[in-house]
Amino acid sequence: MRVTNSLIKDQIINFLSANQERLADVQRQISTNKEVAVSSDDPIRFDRAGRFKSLLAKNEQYTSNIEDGIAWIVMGAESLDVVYEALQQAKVLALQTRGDAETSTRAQVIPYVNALLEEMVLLGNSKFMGKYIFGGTITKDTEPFAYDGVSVTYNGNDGSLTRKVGDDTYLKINTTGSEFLNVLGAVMALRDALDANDGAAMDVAIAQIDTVSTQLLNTIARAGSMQRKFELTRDNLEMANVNLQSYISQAEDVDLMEAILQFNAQELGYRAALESSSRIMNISILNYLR
Amino acid sequence: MGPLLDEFWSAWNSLANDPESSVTRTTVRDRAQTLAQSFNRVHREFVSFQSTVSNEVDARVGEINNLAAQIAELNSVNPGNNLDLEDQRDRLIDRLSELININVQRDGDSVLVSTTGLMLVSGRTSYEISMSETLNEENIGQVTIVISGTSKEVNVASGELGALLTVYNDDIPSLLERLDTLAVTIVNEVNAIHKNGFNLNGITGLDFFTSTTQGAATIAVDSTIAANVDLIASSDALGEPGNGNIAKALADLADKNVIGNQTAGEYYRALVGTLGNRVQETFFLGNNQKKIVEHLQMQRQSVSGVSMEEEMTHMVQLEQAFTAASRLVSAADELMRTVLQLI
Repeated sequence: MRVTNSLIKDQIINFLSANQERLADVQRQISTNKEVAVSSDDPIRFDRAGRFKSLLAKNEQYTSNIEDGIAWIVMGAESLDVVYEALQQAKVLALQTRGDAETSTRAQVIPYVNALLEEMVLLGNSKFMGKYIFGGTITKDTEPFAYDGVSVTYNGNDGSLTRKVGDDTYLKINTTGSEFLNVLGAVMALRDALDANDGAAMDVAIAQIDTVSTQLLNTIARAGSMQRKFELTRDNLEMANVNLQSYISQAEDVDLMEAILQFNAQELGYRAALESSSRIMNISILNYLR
Repeated sequence: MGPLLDEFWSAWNSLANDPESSVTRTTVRDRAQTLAQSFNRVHREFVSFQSTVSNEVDARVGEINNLAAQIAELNSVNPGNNLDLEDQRDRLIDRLSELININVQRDGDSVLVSTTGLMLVSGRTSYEISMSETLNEENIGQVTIVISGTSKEVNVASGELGALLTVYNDDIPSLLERLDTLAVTIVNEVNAIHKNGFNLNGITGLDFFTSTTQGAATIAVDSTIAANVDLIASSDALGEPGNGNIAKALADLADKNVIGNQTAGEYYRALVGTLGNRVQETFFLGNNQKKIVEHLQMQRQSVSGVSMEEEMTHMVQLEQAFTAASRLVSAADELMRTVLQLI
């Protein structure tokens, strides 16, 4: 091919600008640490990173749901523990005054039993973050348990509260008041038997207390297993999140070592191009003609 | 907007956890507003980009008319006898061919310039083109180029003008349509569930987003809900403040295939992916085309360019020939002088 001056000039400009472009590209990758910063860099990898980020955001929401759920369950289980203790105290009082105990002794324990009953009602109306924990989905405005000094009514419902811990997984977090309404019933039966000074009724009440104790222990154990389920899910999610983070990094981050090597190679190329261009531009036949 | 969408669904999830709290309600409203505003903003940016493109189209149309007029002018001064003028006309044609697809034919000393069968320059006459802007049925601007004073449409296929028209008439509208589809789908799906719910005041049947939303430009949180977050419905039964079933159903929308077989998030990412692919493809094609142009230009330079070496060598050769000729003259002169001295 015939080589002309303007051809050489154009070629130098083209080569230099191409070199510079490549150098700037690698430089951008190194300084942002991202190989894929916008969709057009690599649509497939960009989309993959986006999907992983979306999953990660979802998992983080699930994790915070789980923390919230665990706090709620723990709060409920602790209240139930205290109810159980109160129930055991009522049983001790009952055992002390069963059979042929003096009428006056029975009369003496009535206020204690009443106090225990009131304590249980108070526990049944426990709040967590301003919400009744045993009222089902009626968490505000109406107290779950109303005690008029004679009988207890449950004003909550059996609605379950759940937390979303996976795409299609909801776990229950609450125990409703109706599940331990019978506990209050047993203590009331004891109180009535004491009031009536009726030894036979007291035996019935003690048997009832034993039955509801077992039921209550089961309820508490169920809360424990609910908590365990939440914790297992959280561990799984945390593991998944670590993986997701590394996938995101693989999808969009730059391999720094490779990028730096590439940068050095490009820089060398650019220097060589500059060097050779400046030489070739200085050479002219005019220098040799006099 | 991808993360904003995630955050929006996530806010409903928090509301489902804590439907009684005004904090989670405020979060839902705020994130919904941020999402709606970012829809509005992206739409606005596209539309303003479109109007920038329309200005560019206008400028190119002006330049094409100007070039055509100059070519016609040069046709009329009969440049066949004047190489400078012919060079100048060639340069004008070069530039014109960068702007629009043209066909050039020589007709004696003058040239005929046409585009897709319509004459731009014929002899001493040039025909002006002009742009006309209309709105299509989706209220999105469309631009066409016609021969001024007629309804003959110029089918611009390539060149700078062609590229600008493609961006204006096809690329931006198709993105806007998909953005609108996404916005309208989110509004309809959210409202359909929200309407069935009860809020803290026991009211049901309210829309969460403005029900008259036409697309990304108009999406907004319903003004009554924006003013009072207690009106956000979270429960599916009256009088159960702790019931978050509606909020839950709304959070679940994140994973529902609401547009074809895609979730809203997937649809958005596909939109971004398409755009990214287009950009990448355009860069790729642009680079290829640039290489081809560079190659052709080099070949042209190779033929028509000046090589200093060649010219200088040629000059030296001529110089030597001149020296030789002078020598011949001086030899002849000497001969003559010798002869004359004999007289």
